Amino acid sequence: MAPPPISNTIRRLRFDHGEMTQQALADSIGMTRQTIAAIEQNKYSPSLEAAFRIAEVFGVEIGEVFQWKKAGAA
Amino acid sequence: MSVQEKTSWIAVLTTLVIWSYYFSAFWGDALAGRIDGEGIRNLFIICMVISVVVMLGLTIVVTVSARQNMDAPPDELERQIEARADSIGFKLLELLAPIVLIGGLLNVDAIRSAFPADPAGSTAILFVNGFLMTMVVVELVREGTKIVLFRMTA
Repeated sequence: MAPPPISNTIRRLRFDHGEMTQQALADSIGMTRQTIAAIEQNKYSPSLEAAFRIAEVFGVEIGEVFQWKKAGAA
Repeated sequence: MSVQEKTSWIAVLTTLVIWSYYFSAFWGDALAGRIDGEGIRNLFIICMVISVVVMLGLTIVVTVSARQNMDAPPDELERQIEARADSIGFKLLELLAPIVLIGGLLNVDAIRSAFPADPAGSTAILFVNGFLMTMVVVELVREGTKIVLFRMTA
């Protein structure tokens, strides 16, 4: 199954927020660490609500966390 | 590995070991022309009790060691995986149940003649165990599907 055409900056945002762990992020939005890892590795596209919650944790707009990869783009 | 995935592994391995033994004993006896209703009932109860105790015990150990609440609701990925596994399991059940029923009905005369001592009782026991085996196979496929889907996102 092809990965969704969405990239994310969760790893960098976690680093910028004092090396926040996947578990800490997962706990703050009511998910498991495994689901956060799957989102971070682009193996699972979260729901819109979860995407907003992740952006809220980092205090940024959703577009700073998730980016749509346009067709044909590298 | 998430608690949900570990629980699926526990279910698959426990089911495989315990119910493989039960069905190999049952079908071995049935194919040899021996159906002992009381013996089968006792073996079924023993297997069911062992199955529940082992699954429940291991699930509690896994949950406690992960320091999670046993009633913790699944998150959206886990719910999605569960829904896909349920869907596949239900379709398999829809396929296998009629096969077992029709296959059994078409062979009622053969079953009755194979067990002249108690044709009605033996037929009923074979039907019940056919359906029980269907349920076990569906459960194995359902839990196996969850494991595959969890591995795909790991």
